[in-house]
Amino acid sequence: MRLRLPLLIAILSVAFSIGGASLPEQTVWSGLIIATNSPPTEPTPAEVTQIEGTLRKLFGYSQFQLIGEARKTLKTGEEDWLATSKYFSLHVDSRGEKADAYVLNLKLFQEQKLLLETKARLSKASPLVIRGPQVGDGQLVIVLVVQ
Amino acid sequence: MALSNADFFSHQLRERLDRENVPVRSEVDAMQAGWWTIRRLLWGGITSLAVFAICTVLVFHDRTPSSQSQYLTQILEYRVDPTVSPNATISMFEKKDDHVTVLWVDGLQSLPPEYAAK
Repeated sequence: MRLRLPLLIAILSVAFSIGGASLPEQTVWSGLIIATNSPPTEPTPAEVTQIEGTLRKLFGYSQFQLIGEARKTLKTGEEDWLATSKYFSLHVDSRGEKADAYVLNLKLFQEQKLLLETKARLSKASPLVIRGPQVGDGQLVIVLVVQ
Repeated sequence: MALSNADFFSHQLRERLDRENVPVRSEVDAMQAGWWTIRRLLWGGITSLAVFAICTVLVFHDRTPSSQSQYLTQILEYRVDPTVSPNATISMFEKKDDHVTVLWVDGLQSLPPEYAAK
């Protein structure tokens, strides 16, 4: 009888530690990218390299320069963060996880001006690409990826 | 041996008391020796709770996605401010080969090259 209580506590501890370890912590990478055809000044970032081929096909540009980024590890799924460059900022507000995807409210600002507002279910298997305004001879492209 | 009156009544009384006490004792004994004692009920409850907790944890553990979802990202809502970008139009499409969802915004005001600054 005296052994039963410690045994139960041990079983419960193991069960809860397994449960705690299974909670997924995922990182969402958000990048502000300028796509151009001008010669490369710096290497393409690793996050962009993964979908560089897709971006080339979509936009017809050959170079992708990262001007702002944010990497956020989601613990509760309800966090918010900001990816900024000198003139642009992307505000991301995560509204929780549903069916293997994060529901995100996105706001793209050009300085104080709200250019675009969108709500998306960002799947863990599928990046989101947003075509922003023309900047010089290039194009602002926003990419969100669950890593 | 003959009993006196007092002894007789005392004897009767003792016998009666004995008779009345026997069932009470047996009930107490049954409660202490039977299966559903308080202690066993308590342990039964604790064990049930433990089993429930373990099952719950295991079910949630199994439901945790081990691999990436096959579903594409979905655009649920989108909006541009017509006063800021009166000519803007938005379309969206999915590149299923590349597992990419695209929100294509046209007609935003073009900006000078310095806006490409980090």
